[in-house]
Amino acid sequence: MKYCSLSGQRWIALLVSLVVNGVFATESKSQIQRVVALDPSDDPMLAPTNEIGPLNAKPEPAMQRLTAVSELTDVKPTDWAYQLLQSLIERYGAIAGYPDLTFRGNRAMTRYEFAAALVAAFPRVDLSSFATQQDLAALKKLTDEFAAELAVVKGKLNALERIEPVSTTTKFTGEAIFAVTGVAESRKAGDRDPTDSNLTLSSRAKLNFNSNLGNRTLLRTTLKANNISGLQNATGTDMARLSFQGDSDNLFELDEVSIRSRLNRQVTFQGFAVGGSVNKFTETLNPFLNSSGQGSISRFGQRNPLYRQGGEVGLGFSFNLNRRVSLDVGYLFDRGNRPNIGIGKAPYGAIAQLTYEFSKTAGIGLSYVRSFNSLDTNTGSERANDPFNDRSNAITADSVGVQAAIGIAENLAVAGWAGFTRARAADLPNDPTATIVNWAVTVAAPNLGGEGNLLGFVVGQPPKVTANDFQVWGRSFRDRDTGLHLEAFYRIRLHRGISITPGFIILTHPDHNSNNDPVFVGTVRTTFSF
Amino acid sequence: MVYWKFFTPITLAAVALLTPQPNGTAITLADGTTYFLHPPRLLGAVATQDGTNIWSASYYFTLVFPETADEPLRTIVIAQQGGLGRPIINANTVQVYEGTRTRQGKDVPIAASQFDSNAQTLTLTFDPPIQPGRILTIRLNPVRNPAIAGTYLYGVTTFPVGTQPFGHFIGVGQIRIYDSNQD
Repeated sequence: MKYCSLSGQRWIALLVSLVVNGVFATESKSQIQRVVALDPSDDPMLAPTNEIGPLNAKPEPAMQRLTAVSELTDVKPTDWAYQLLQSLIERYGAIAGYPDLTFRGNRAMTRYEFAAALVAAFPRVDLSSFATQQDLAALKKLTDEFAAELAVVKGKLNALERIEPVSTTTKFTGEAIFAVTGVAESRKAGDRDPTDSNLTLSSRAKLNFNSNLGNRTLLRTTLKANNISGLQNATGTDMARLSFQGDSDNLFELDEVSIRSRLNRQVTFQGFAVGGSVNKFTETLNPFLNSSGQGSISRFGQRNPLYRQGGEVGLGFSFNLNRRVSLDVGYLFDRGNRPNIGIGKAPYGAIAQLTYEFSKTAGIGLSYVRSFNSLDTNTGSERANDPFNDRSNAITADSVGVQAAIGIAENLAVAGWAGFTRARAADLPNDPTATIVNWAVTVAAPNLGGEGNLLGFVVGQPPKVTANDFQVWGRSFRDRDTGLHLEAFYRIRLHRGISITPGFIILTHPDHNSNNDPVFVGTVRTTFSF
Repeated sequence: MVYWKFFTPITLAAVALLTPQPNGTAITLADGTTYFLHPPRLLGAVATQDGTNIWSASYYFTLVFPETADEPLRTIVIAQQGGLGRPIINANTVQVYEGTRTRQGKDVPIAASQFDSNAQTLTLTFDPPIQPGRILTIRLNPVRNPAIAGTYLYGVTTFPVGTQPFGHFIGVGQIRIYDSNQD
């Protein structure tokens, strides 16, 4: 197309196409130059065909810019180019009319007029916002330089696009334990039989699904499969139980379904459908030894046995009364799903604990537990588990516990507890009562010999019946001797997610009976966290 | 998985291979905004003691600050993004050094360290700023691990020097906290 022979409307079309195609971008500048440089003499169409003739035939004053097409007297809204002109004005201010406010759209235009129209358009285009030749060169250089990275990123993005997450709200964690365990050869407690002293290899796997329901609520579903047989059978006493023992024949079972919600800055709510426990919403103040996979190797060493009263279903609340004082209350029952028992007669445990924190690394807790038919904590002597020798079906127990933990150095913590229980059998003659006592002191040295390690010691007396109105064969049904629980373990963190914990337990006078041989238990627990 | 890089010398080799930009000129826009040419990258995060409620834990964040970054590093911001608990970070015991967690190099002085417990954000400022071409490890100490187990996410943002530095978000570190109360 040759500008010089264009009619006014056709040059508008040209200008629009130039603008639309990015005439003002760097690469197109040369095209304009080419167009302008064309020699009209090669063009057979050069001869003026327009009846009115070229504008320069009768010189006129410079054209003037417009603000609306309607200002032009000879352009009507019905003209086919009306919209085109309007958009040129609005977007680029590129329309110029004659001083008499005519457009003379059917005329050919001169080079002067074309230049004038172009000039009218140019100042409106802010060239600084476009890339320069230099920028393009830099961009190309960067593209070349990062070609490999871009390919990698593109590959990754493609891979991502193919992955559909199962859930965007649920995060998965897990833990697997492999344990080699052995009991020293001696006699079982309360028995002439020898202990089951063969070395065993057993395992436990736990899968946690933590689902965020909003910002403040967490739903947890835990599956567990294990085959770690109970050492109470091998040794004859519950005092020898391991923290991580349990046997489901390696079948996965529902271990916990709970919901935890921060109601506000002060109050946290926790509800359990399966797998509840008082300690899950109460601060047990034995932080380093509390965990079964990473802490104490014994069940007794984990926490005050008082926290093991109560059932699996229920709820708890934690109130942060102020920066230092918190109150935990809760109620958990068991077997409430069975029509022959029901919620009303279900075994339960209710707790209220007041905790005072001197600092974040020192605190003391005072707890009260009320329980019904839920006294068996599987940590102490046989009599402490059942002080009424299986005769009572209505044991109410009031327990008071005090526990404290203190960080005495950066990497040394001492904790301890004492528990005192008064149990009453309401369905036996004279309502006999029994008194059960336990205590322990634990020492934890985290990061000893390497970050993530933990050396731990436990010295304590597992639950013991110190006094009992209930009599068997005319003698008070109480523990006459005192056995101690001594334990040491050393958790070594081999790698992120892998730790190995050798440890041993010594029970002097197991079952609080000096006729029993001491029991030795040794284990090497390997824990994988993922 | 990213965290394996913590322990392998491959990472060190990879960084050494990043050749310095010959006549690198800092990226500064007309309005004064400064950018890293190649921003740092987060290699990963790890907790040493990962049980709920315990103290004496350290959280490590390791990042590569490439030689080609072109601008010194003035500020690092670590902000908690996920997790129900709100662990408080002790701003006074933060340490930064060159190298990885297991291969510690020399200490990097911190000019200012601030923890905002409302935004759960730790801000570290360096004066003099850190020069490019090194691996950096940040060690944080929570006053105590959170009481609620789960996966805690920490977003890391780095700022170059300049009056108007642009914050490059360089990645999310995962700190996993396991429940001590589950038997």
